[in-house]
Amino acid sequence: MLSAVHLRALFRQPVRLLTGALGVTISMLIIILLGAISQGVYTAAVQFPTQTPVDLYVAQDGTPRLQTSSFLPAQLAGPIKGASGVSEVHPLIMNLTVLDLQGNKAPVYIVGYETDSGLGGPWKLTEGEQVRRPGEVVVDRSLAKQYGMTVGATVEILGRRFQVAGLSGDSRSMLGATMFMSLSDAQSLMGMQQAVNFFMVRLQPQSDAGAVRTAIEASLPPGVKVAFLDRQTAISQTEDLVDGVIGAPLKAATGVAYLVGIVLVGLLRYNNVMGRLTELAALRAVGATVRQIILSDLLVETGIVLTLGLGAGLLFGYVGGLLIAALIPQMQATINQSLLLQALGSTLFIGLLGSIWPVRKLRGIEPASAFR
Amino acid sequence: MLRLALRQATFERTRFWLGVAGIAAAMALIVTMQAMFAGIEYQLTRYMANSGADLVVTQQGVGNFYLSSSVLPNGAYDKVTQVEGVAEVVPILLMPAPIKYGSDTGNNWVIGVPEAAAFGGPWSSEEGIRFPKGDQLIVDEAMAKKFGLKMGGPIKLAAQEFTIGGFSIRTSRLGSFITFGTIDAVRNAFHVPGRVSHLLVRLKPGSAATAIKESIERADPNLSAWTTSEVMANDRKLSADMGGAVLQSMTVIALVIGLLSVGLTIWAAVTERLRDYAVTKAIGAPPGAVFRMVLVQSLLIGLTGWVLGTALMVVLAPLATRFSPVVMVVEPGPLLQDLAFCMAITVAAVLPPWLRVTRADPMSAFQ
Repeated sequence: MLSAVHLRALFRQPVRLLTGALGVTISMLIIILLGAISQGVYTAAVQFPTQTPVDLYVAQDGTPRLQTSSFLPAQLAGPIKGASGVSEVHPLIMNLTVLDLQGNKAPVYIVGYETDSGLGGPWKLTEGEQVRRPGEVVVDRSLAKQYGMTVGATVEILGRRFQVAGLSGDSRSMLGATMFMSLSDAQSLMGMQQAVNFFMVRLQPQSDAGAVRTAIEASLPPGVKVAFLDRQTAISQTEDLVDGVIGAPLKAATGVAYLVGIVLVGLLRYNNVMGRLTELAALRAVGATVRQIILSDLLVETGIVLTLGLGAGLLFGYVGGLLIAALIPQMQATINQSLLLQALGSTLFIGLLGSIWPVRKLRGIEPASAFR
Repeated sequence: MLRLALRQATFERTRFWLGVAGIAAAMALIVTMQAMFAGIEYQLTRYMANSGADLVVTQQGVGNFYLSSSVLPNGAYDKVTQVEGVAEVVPILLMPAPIKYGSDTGNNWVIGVPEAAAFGGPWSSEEGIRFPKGDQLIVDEAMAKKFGLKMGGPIKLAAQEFTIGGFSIRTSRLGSFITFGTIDAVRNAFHVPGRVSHLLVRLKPGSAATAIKESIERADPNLSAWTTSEVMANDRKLSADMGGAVLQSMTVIALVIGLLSVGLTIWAAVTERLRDYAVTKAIGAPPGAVFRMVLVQSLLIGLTGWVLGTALMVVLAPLATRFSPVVMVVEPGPLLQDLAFCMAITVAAVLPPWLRVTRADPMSAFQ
């Protein structure tokens, strides 16, 4: 039972309570923000294969992922379309290039797609319109903001002038920002008039993907070999690419932040309770048992501190994530739910441990010494 | 007063070390992020820094080494060789060339250098030939470990078979590796006869780089000449627009939140001792002396925490670089900057509780 004595003792030093909660908030902020940025890197990188409703990508033989060079003759569209189980075939140009924008080098994915079908085009238009004809481009919103490109403005891309038809959202990752344009424009810019990078294939309902692959292979001219990437493989291979490039430092950063955050919670709770030891000894001297002190005082205090701290940490972490995404165009912050749950569990455990551990000392204190 | 401050700070050892541990943890987080960011920049520019060249000649307007396509016009080598002040020119061919090994694919860049080149090849070898020869490639030892490649074993590059002739060390870069081959072999593998992507230029002693850059660009307007430092700076800038921005932001966030933790730890440590300070004031110590006492104790905790957190990472960073895929470079500049921030936040965190002591009724200390 929480007696008036315990309650008074608990709230006698509100600053101490607040310091404890602030410590938990800061620890949660470290874990949430660094974890969200780390997760955001992966989320942003897989936007194209995730958002584009394609069942199968056909690529040059040996191509492991969408971000690797792949060259296929454009005329393969016919044989692929004719294969049993294939419903639609759409060519795609997807090339990473470094553009000179206002004297700055910017990594950009040039994506060329058939504007009449729209497959492979922007999945989130935030302003303006889709590409309707050659000479138009939809530019990633953050890239446009960074370089002052507005809808209707003219922009030079690899020596050719384009009109900005619209701006797209969620189309920038650490690998580069995306510029969407008509297939013919992209082919011309990349010097691939008679070639494409990939074919995007949609299957007929209830088709067996394995059987369709075999049918496509059989339909190709003799000697032509291709590779297939289903949607899930395209996503996982992109994640692997990100993992290979920056995964190790991201994981190390998130891991160290997690560890430091948890350690700080434990240390602050321990320090807090150690500061109250004389007070707790006095409670014991007036008849409270160690069990009562733990249940009615320390657990309540820890509960208040952790609830306030975790709540504020979650709130500030969420707001911080939004702020980061708004302020830094290359970044997305995605709350990693499993990391969050782990962090909540660990914080609760370490917080309770840090609070209860010093109680051992209470057993050794002579009750009368509390009043000296 | 100083002796009293020190004695009081270490009187309750557990609490002193708890404060120190909190600050050391925060500093370790900050130094980790800074070291990883510096490690990425270090990896990115390692080839250029070790190339042995003073200038790099590229296709006009291409100022980056990685992630950009540079194809030099025919005759560029002869024109640059004849420029006054140029001592030696090495043509190279840089190509992105993922290495496939079983079901695994490794991100890889291949650099083709002439067999007899004086520079531009691997700068540090572990085993085998030191410079690429014939159809023998020199591969990064970390890549060899990852893919189980053996000395003298086969390796496929752009569908062509090669032999592994040597292992180079520290030639990986941010999730990818550098493989060295002869320029002729690389041209053959990619079916690009005669292609040169960059010229590495060494200047005669005492030559002015700026004047020679202009002379090269005058000799062929389709060329751009850069000092190796300029190319490294451009690559760093491009990297900041890619993955670098993410780590840079994480580093800044870690710094801000880490410093907040330092401030909070100091604040908590001072707050827990308020009664001691109030007693010191009540027995006649002037406010200035009490402040010095609070400050000395807090700075001692802050400084010890900084030393321990930093020392931990100075020891761990080379181990992490050796035994994990993370490259960490601890630089003295950021460490000193962290120290300055740590001390500043310590002083700032001391002020609010100290003001409470100055306003407190002396009698309350004995209640």
